[in-house]
Amino acid sequence: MTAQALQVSGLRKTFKGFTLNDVSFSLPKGHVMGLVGPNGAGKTTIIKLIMNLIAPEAGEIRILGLDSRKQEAKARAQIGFVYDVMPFYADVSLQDTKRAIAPFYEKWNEALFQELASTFDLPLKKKVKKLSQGMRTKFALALALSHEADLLILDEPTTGLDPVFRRELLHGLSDLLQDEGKSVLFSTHITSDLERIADYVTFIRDGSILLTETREELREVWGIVRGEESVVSGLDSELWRGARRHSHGLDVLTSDASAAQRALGESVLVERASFEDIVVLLDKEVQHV
Amino acid sequence: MFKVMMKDLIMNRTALVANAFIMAAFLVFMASWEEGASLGTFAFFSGLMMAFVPAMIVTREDKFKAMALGCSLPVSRKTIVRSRYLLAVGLAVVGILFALSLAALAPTSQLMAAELFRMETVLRALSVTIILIALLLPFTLRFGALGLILVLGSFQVLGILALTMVKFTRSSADKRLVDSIIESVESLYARFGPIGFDLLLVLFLAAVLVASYAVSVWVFRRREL
Amino acid sequence: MRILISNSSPDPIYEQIVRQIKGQIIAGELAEGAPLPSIRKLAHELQISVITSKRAYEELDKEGLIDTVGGKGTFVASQNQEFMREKRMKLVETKLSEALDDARMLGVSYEELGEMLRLLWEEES
Repeated sequence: MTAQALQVSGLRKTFKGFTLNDVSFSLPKGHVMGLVGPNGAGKTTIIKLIMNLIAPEAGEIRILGLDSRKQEAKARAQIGFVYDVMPFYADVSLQDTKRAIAPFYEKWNEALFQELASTFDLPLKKKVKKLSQGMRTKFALALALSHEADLLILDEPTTGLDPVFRRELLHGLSDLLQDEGKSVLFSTHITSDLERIADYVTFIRDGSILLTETREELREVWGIVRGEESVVSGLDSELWRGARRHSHGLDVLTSDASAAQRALGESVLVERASFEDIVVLLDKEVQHV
Repeated sequence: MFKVMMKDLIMNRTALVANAFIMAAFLVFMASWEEGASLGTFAFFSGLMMAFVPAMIVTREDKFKAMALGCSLPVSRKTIVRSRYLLAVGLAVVGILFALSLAALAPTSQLMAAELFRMETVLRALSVTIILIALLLPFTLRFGALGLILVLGSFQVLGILALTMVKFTRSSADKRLVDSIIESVESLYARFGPIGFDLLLVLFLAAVLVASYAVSVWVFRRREL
Repeated sequence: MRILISNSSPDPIYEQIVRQIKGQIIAGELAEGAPLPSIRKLAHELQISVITSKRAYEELDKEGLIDTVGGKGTFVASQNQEFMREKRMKLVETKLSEALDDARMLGVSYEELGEMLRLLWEEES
């Protein structure tokens, strides 16, 4: 019995103009991981690799201990997926789509689906093309949650949704995760999503993983040091995780805010780093003047 | 595997029914055509039409970019291909029998039930279907609608090339080629008798289908979505 | 049980939780044996990571303030009577010394204060 819901190691995939390089991370069972990075960073590519929609040039993916390629059918039986653009047949009704998909999952729970459809207010008899993006996402979510999947994979599930629904969706998701066994991987470029639901955060940029860390650590221990360059540049390189220069000095991302404060004293301002700060500053270099 | 077949039937229900009506109308017309109604042609066209049904299923999926959905489900790519082939052959048999029944029952039909339901007629139609399916499926599975265009397009191109060549060389190579094919078929027929020939034909079709299936699996497994 | 998390407080979230639950147990707001929400429920309600709520509960468990019964949930532990009394006494002491400070500022004498205390005690009995 593996304790990891998802293990990705050494993934590599080359496209024209973009390479996914040596991507590795793990998601422990029963937890939520946010995969965050700017558009084009490789989030969707990683998810496609996990779902075996594309094949890696190198690396391995294990889903609840199963090989994502050699045991693909068994592995995907445990996965509930929501893509940012769901590949439904536009001219087929929600009901028929469900009828076509449900039989593939042994643990399909029809009562649960009906309950979710009612909660989400889904017009089951309507064709997919008549639904807004938000409704389609809700439908996809209802399908993904109705077969007692142990791993939920959501690719940018909140894109195109208004802030109110986005919050409801994340809160609802968190509610559903009361079951100890469920794990979630969701990708997003909207950092506020993370504040509500993630246990772990993996930062990705230009095809490489920059960091995987707990939300707690990033929030409580990491920080931003702001001050004049002459003072701030004295910060120990071990604590230096990225920086940006601006007209009033330097902003430096640090992995230990209190240590930085102790080291540099009163002449610098040390604050909590928001996830947005981290995304912007992580591994950014400042040219030394 | 049956789940994939059911899924295909559900997702394409309307299109299949619409197609059935159109084909039925056309076939009845063909069978009733005083001037041209010939058993052979009818069988040929029934077979031809049925070949496009599985191609339609695959290209429709491609049109909606729904392949990512099918391939995200807990089913292997090989199983998807296998179900597509089985469904294609199944629908072909049903469709051909349906076409023949139409021709037999339509009041305006020029064709007789007796001649329609001979093994020969059925096999002729089925051969056309299977050979076409064998060509179309690997291409449509890999290229979607584009694949269909590729296959049909290349038929056209080959046809034009052949004609041009014949015109240029002024040879009767084409006639000789067709003659030699007919000759070898006839000699096989003579050798093995009608039943033997039918059996050989069925074996040949099976072989073609299996070869096509192998190519499709290889091609579809590698398709990136 | 009501817990308020401040995002702008310099204290780590798990510490805030520990402090508030501890305070409520000592003040008697959370009785012995009272059920606490599960780690996940707490995380969901406060919109924090389960890792954080788990840490808070682990801390409280270490201090002997809560007990987790497998399969049943988490409950306020039966408190060491001596220990609780001591803690409560401390609270009383703090409140008394506050009252004393105020009294001194007003210039109230020890006798007046004693009289006030006796009257109040008799009122409440």
